[in-house]
Amino acid sequence: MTPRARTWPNRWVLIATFALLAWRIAGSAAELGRTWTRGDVFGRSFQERIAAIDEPFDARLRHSLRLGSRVYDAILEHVPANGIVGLTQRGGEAEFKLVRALVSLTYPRRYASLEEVLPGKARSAPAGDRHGFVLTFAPNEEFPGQERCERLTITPRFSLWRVKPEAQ
Amino acid sequence: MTIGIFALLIMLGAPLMLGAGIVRAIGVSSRDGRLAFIGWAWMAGSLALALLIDIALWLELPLRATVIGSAVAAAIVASWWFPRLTRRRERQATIATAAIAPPPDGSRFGRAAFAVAVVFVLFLTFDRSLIANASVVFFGDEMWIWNGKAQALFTAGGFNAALARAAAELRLSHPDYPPLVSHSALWTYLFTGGVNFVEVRLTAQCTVAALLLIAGAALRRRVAPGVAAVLLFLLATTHTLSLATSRCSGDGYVALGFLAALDAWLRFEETGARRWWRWLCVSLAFAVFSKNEGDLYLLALAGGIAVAALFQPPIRVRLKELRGAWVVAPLPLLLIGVQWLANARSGFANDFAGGKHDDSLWKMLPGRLQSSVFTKILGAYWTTMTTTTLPPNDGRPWFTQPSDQNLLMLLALVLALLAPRRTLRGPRCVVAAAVIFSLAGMAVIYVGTPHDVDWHLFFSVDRVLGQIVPAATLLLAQTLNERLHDHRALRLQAFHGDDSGTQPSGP
Repeated sequence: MTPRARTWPNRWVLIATFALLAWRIAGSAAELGRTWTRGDVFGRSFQERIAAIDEPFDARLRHSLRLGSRVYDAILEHVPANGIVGLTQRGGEAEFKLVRALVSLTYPRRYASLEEVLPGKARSAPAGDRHGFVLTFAPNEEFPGQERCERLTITPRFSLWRVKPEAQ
Repeated sequence: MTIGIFALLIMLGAPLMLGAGIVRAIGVSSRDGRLAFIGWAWMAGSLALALLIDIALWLELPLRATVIGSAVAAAIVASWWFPRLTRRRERQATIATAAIAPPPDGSRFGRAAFAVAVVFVLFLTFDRSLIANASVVFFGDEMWIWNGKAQALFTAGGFNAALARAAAELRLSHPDYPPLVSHSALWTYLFTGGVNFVEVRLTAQCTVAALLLIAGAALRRRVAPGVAAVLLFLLATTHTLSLATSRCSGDGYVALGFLAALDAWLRFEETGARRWWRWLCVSLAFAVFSKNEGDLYLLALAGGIAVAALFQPPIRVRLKELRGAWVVAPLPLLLIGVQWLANARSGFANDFAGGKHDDSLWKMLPGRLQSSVFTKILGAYWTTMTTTTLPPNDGRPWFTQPSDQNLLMLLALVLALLAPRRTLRGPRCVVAAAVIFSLAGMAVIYVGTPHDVDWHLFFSVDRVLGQIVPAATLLLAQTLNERLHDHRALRLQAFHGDDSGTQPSGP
């Protein structure tokens, strides 16, 4: 086989490889260009992102949790560090995500089932010396043992209750 | 941010200083690559820092900036004063390895393109970090695995019963995972006065920058600067690196460990200098301390070296020449042992070892050896490697949506397998074998998963294959360099019309 003949397969492999790489470069560049021209998920341009570099934690938290930040505020305001928040099993995926976020963001406050916070009369106080609370994602939702609780907060999205001290 | 500029500089500068001292003590200097040296320093510093924090947790020392900071300061001084391990001039390599075609120096345009690419990918990482850090860490693996574990460790103050309780209360997904990422997160807590949900990402983002610097240097060493610029750009825009920058997760860490280990092997193979063997062991230690996939990459690289030693006598000679340098080889295994002990003490077990499920990997494996399972896995591999764009807004709005470049891996594999004999007997043997063994090992894990295979593939295959993409990009660079070299040589021959002259370089 002559050198010229041996050059051809290698040349075609190289052409095909570089064509693919060029195609991906164009794709990546277009993707990045779109990201930079339309701004980030909060609609911020690069200059605005730089300006927000020292944005306080609270503002970042509000971007992240959006409406859920009101639940976060209510928990921090009313539930002490050793509090335990009972959850009624209502709510969709957004509420599930919010609760998972609250577990970390408001730790060491605990989140548990309603039964753990409001046990039946036969059982003793809920979770040792923890203060009991109830969080519902439908403001007018009724739940077993509601008469033993007092409402602390109500909004269109949620309501937060405290188990009355005498009921614990 | 809840952190001042001075604290930020110490938080990121201390691991860098510590790592620079360690890397110099190993015998590697900035003369071996200025770009890569910064990345190596970050790697070594992060690993050393994690080990110091691990010791503090074992001893249940107070996790305060003064305590850990003093230990880190002492370690920095020790690392810079420690007598260089390679004070004696290393014997120059006398054994000829498989011929390696040196990359062309490149045109002025090519060199400028490479410089622009390095600056651009660092800028891209910075911008991705800005976008990501506008939101706090509150969801997904970065919270339920990595930052959550740091939070539990910080609360418990050690590997004790309180850790297991905190892990349960925080609903952690995998408290048994290796600790490097969590310990790096814990390091940031010392500067923010407690658990934080933003600054934890900074160390992970610096790790991605380190990966890009090491990748840039490794690519430039093996291919012309223009081609290196192209590959570096494509690597930086991969989905994996985008995710690794946007989230505090272990994928970027383990990918970096694997890439640095392969690069160290190639440098060892090329020069015979033992410092590269030592650095290889440290890189693998970094990988296994980052994520469990690191164990797989350790095995894959060992397998790759074994295959190369089988087909290439010079590799066997290289390994024999190591002599006393073998002593550092157990370092990754030692760290696996440390991690195992910490899990045993805290009562954590891996789900593949029967931690959460009745069936472990080895119990599940025999019953799952069916063609339908392999078809699923290969199908997922194929889809992952050939998908070039992500679905528009997949519900994870806090990172830029890049094009997916796992195609780089497909290209690397195809080009390497087009010339199998040359791959087996050439300088790319170890990298090619390590990449292929990693993919095969990953498939075995999917076969034996205690989870539903479809579910497991859906949630992880793009991420874990992405960990191999930097290594595959290195393989692609090696293959392209050989082919470009052949092309030039054959064209020259054709031009002179002499078929009996120079043969293409390489085995």
